[in-house]
Amino acid sequence: MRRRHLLALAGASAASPMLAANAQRPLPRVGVLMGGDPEPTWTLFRKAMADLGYVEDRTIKYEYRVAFAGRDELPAMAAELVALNVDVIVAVLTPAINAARAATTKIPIVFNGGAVETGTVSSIARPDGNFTGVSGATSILAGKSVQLFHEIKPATKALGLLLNEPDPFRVPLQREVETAGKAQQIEIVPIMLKGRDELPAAYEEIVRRRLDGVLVQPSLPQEIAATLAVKNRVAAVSFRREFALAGGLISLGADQADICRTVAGYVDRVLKGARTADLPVQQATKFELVVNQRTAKALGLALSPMFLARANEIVE
Amino acid sequence: MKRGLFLKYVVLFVGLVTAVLVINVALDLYFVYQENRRASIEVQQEKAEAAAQRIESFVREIERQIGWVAQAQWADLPVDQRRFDYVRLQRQVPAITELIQLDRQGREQLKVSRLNMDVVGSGTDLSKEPPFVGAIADGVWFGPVYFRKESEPYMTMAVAHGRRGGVTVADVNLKFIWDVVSQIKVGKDGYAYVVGPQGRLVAHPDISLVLRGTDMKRLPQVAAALAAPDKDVPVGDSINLAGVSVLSAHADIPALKWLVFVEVPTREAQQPVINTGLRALALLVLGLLIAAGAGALLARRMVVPIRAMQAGAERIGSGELSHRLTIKTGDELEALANQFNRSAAALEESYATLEQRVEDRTRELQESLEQQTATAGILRVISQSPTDVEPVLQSVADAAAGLCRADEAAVFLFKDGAYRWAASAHIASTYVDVVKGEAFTPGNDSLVGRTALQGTVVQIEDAPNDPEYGRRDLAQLGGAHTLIGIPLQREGDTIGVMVLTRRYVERFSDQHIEILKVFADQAVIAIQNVRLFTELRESLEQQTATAEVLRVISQSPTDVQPVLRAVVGAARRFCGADDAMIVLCDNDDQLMATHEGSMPALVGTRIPLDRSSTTGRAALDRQTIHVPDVALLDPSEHAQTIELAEKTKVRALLAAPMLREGGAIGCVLLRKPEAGAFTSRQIGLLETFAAQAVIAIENVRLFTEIQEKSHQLEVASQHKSQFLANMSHELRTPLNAIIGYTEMMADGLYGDVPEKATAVLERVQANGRHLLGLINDVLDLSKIEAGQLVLAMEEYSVADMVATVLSATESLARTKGLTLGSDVPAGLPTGTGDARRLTQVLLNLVGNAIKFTDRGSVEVRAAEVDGRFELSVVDTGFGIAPEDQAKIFEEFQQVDNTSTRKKGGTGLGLSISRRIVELHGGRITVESDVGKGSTFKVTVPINASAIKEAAQ
Repeated sequence: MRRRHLLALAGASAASPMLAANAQRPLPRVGVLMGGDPEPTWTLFRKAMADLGYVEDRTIKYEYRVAFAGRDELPAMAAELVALNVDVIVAVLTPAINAARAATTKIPIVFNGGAVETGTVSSIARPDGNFTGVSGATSILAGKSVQLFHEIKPATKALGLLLNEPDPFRVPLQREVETAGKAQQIEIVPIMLKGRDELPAAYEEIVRRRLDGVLVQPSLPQEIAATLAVKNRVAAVSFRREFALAGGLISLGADQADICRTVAGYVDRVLKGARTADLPVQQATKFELVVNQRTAKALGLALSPMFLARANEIVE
Repeated sequence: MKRGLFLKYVVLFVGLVTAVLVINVALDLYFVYQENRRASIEVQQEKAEAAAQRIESFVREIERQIGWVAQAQWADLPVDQRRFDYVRLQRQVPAITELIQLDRQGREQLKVSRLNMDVVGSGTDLSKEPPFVGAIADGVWFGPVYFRKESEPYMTMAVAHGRRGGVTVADVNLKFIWDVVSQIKVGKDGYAYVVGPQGRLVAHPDISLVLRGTDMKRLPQVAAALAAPDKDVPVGDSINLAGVSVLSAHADIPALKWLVFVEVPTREAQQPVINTGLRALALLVLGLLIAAGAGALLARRMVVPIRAMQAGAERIGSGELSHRLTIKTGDELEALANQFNRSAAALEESYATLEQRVEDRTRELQESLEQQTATAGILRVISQSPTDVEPVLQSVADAAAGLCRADEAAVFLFKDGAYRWAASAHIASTYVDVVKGEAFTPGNDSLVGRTALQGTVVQIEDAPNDPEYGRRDLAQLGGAHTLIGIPLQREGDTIGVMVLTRRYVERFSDQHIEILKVFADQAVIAIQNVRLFTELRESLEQQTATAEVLRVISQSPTDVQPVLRAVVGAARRFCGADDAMIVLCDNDDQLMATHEGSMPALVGTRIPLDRSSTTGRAALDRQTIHVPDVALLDPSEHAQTIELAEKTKVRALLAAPMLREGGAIGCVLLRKPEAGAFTSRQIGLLETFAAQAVIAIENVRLFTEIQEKSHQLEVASQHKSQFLANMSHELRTPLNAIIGYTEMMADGLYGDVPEKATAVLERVQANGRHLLGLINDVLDLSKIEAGQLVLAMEEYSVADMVATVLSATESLARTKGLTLGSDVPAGLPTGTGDARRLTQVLLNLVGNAIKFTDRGSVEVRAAEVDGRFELSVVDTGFGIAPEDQAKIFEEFQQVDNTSTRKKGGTGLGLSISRRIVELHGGRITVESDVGKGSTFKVTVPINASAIKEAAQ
């Protein structure tokens, strides 16, 4: 009888801890707040999470909020996520990042966007409070973009700059672009937009003013902007791969897949108990240049082999 | 025991095996540990070397890539071509963020940046900068690690374009080493990291640690390696940033001055040891199980027969003595079981004997109990019959016969000089009648006599066949054979004998004799009790009778008859005769005064007083005459007695004289119709009654005399008072006339009076007044004595009373030069009494005080004490001697000395005062010291009316 008892005891001790662990724990919830085009970030992020082993609705739950046009929805959405008491908030693009920061100082926020340029990050190595993430170095790349544009179209005299007025990122963007313009002797013409509805009118203005090209702020709808550029036969530059794929001339920006992997890695660590202060703000390290050869041809622009050699991807 | 032995065996066995296994395992573990440690350290060191190599090769690869471009002639190519090459280089090596081409003079020719704008031909002079100097000198130059924005690690490296060419300077983002570092696998949980010369982390699988600029110097292994870069720091145990114990090893990259560390958790490194330990533990457990099994088996072989023995012993213990154990183990246990069986057999045997003894003892106990019960029964009878000895003797005989298996029992008591039957048990009534008639005297013929004679237990074994036994007739009549006689003894006297008989021949055992002695003692106690009780009762009755007579005497001081009746009644009750009478002497006759009894007697008849009658003889001889039997008297001496006795059928007489002052005033006579002596006690008692009768008669005589005398005195006293009252009145009337006329003469109503005559008149007047006062006092006194003084009750004020008295005596005091004062507190209540008489009393006291005081003062004080007025007259006069203080309140008493005689007075004042105060229910007292003064104190109730009523 004692023998049987011993065996039963051994079996029980081997089996029980795992059963107990799985049964009790509520699913971790990640709030995702998008301040512009949700794709491809949304998909890439979930893929990165999946690569880390998270299965949606089984081991993780997403609270996904996106504000396409009406940017004033963001504070309410952020508050909603806070009210839901999600475990971590992923904020993409500056308006979303600022809304999330305003909504909570408790829930960890992992951003993806220009927080460093807009000055919301006090220390890159040791960020304050509940706030860390990945910076895309977009504004620096904007200067580089102006140079690239000049290489493609050396005769450029004036370059339009489409700015998303509600997005604070427009300020460092405009500054960088104007600096680069000055270096290349190119006049920069900023055009302020209050919403995406104003995009067609903006393009009409570019055409009317016979500007040589246009640079589009990344928080503006990339595909619409690219499509309108094709439609209006305007050489357009932006920062997202999708822009070039949708007909924009070139796009130069950080590899979103890479950024999303880093963001997912941070989300994972936060969910496992890491403090945001221990997670330094990371700089994007992988950048990609995408060139739309088709658009270039349509615009009658000849691309040198050396230029093409730079491109990570060429859309034929 | 069941568990104990079994457990002990198993524990011992398991203990032994465990000890052996534990020692074995411990030694094994120790050696495995040592071996493993050495092996792990070697492996770690190798891994560290390998890691360092990989890190270095990462940097060398960059260098090699730059080297492809940086040919000597390359600087001469057109700028577009050079830009293109730099761009391509950047694409091939993602870690390079910026490339700068310097010409031979150290001027910047081209800058291609991944993020920033490209610059062509800026010509900035960088010839003095370390990259240029270093590359020109050594061909390759590695800059120190620096951190952009204090976060991202970068390194500048420069590669010279051959001897004549320029230099390519590259900025390398060291974040890319992460790809290498994170690929280095060190065991399962192990890792490698790179530390710069300042101890700052350059590369780590956790990139965030690098970006945070973690200072690794705080880890002891890093600090030690940095402190002595050249020495081969031994691999050892340490801890990592997370505080986990690790096995750490490092190798350096001399070209870069970097240190590469490889660490693996100690736990992991020691996994083989742990595994060995677990195996050993499993072995230990297995060994224990086997040992336990073997121990259990062995113990079972031992324990089973022991348990069988235990069960058997239990059955034997519970009384199953016939049970036998069957154990066939062929060893000591079997021998032990056989021993058990033998013990059980022995027990069984002794048990049977024990039962017999228990039975015997039970029987003895039963007998003992019966005896005790019988004894208790007798004691109960004794306590229940304190006055009658018969029931006790009856129950003693009964119990004795029952307990001693006798057929008959009888008790004989000494009475009237012989032992006579008193009680018996189980004896036929016909035989009892025979025995009742017997009177045994001490002697050898009868058993009773023999027992009484010897004073010890006497046993006759076979009475009918005993030649010495004198009363064989009795034995034959009762069919008795064995007889036993037990003396009932009190203080050495044999007061009775208890006899038991058996109708067969068997001596009474010693035990029976003991029991019989106890019964005999109890019988004696009972007899004693009854005797004592009877004596006590008689004594009490006598005392009651005497007291009764005395009570009658005290209740009837004037009449002698009730006393005589009481005496006669008491004599009848206590003196053993039914008939008693009192004869009184009257000159030469005897008078029959009182009689009580059943025999004829003529109260009031007289017979001559002479010695021929018993009463006469007693009276004349002044001694008690006892006639036990009239028939035995001498007719010549007792003619009257014999004659009267024949007439009244009297056989015995007792006469006690009633003596007074030597003569007899009569006698008390007791008569009995049958002959028989009176006991001395009865005689004594009768004499006592006779004496009481004398006292009673004498009392009555004296009382009558006193009563007559006091009556005469009273009449005389009344006459005196009446006389005094009359006399006073008769004296006062003419005296008033004398005083009145003298006054009128002195006032000159009858013409002038010569001066000599005036003095005479005044003396006549003064003497007259004195005489009047005297007469008034006598009158008052006589009134009081005659009971004619009636108080006139009214309300009065003490203060007014005192004032009145003081004003009346003030002149007198002044004449004598005395201070007259009073102390009357305000608020005294109004009193009730005869104010005039009380004033008279106070006046008398104050007058006396002034009279008997020559110097000093007289003071009247009043106070209220306990519902009474206390009036004191205090003087500083001569005082009164203690022996005189009582007398002064008597009539006509005055302290007799020269000084008082001078003062005159009747000596009636205080007497009258006392009577008045007493009529008020109060008292008058005096306190005095001779020569110092006196204090007379009158105490009267404030409300005297009730007292006055009582006084009347």
